[in-house]
Amino acid sequence: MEPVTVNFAMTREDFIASRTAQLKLLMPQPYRFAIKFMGAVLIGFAAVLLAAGHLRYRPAPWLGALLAVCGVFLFFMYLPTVEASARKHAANDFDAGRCGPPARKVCFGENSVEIRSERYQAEIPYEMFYSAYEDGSVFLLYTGIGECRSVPKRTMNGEERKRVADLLAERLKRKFKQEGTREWTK
Amino acid sequence: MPNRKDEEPIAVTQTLTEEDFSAAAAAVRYFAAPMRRRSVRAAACLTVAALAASTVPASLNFFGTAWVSAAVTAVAFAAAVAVWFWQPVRETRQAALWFRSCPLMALPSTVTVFRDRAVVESKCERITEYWTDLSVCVETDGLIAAAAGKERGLLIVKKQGLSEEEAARLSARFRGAFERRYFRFSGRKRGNSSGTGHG
Repeated sequence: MEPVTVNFAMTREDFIASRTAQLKLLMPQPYRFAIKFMGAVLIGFAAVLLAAGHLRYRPAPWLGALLAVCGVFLFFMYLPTVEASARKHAANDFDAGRCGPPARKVCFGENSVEIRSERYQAEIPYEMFYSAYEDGSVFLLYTGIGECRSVPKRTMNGEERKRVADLLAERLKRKFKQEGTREWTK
Repeated sequence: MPNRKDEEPIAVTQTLTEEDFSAAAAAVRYFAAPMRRRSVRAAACLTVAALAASTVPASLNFFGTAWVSAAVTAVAFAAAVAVWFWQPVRETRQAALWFRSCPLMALPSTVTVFRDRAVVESKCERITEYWTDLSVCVETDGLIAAAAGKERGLLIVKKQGLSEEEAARLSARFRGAFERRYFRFSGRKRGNSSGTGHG
């Protein structure tokens, strides 16, 4: 298989997309469902308390209101708030020059991935990667916990993206996660 | 007139172990995040316990019961004890997990220390970290660690196997490069004789 080689300069949008993808990996679908479920439960409790207050006696209307506010926040606003905060911090980090040298070259070979930038040159066998992740905008390659190299998908055409995804799935197996794919179907 | 020998790069060949990494992470954490030291957190919990205990007479006077104050005191005190004993274990485990997640860190490597940067080379990687990008440097009896680089979270240089003169040159180079961001962590810190930075 011919290697897939990309040369690119990391842009602000790429960096924000990379951080957003890292956040999505940290907050998988079951976690998001659990947050929304807790919000729904709190809203339900609040409704019961408020109804009980009207029908029987008044335990504490403020408690029902507080639960309702917490439930609405968890159900509707918590995840968008976290994502917006992550994007804002990523933008600030990029503007402050904390994203490292922008120009990079990444080559996905048969047995290893070659990464070249001003301060980092590596040829890493696939078995040494901690994990990899793919969403709509980027591929993330983790060399360890918290150590992530991102490759924007805009640097590849459709066929190259598919080849890279297939290569990562074949070499990394369960260590390769894709957005929206359930673990037990892989 | 500057000594020519001071300008020469210093090369150190090393293979990091989990213990080295844990010690380096603990030492750096001690100075990089002083508010997270177990002594600070335990003191905060004990302060809360003391304040809650001080409200017991007032609670008895006004409400006839002090169970809330007593409960808060007990929980805060238990938290202080838990933090004191559990935090070092948790931090050591996290450092071990971090090290084990990255096989590249365990590869034999050569660290070349220049005046303005360090270059780490192994069979898979070549990493250049400039001092200006590192926020803190801590030297212990066994190693020198710096955080947090753009390419890798911790730069570790082991002093094991170096002659006294080389170790002194290495130490002087880091001291000169980091100045006020340089800290010396001796093993004689209170509460810990191994210099692992859990105070």
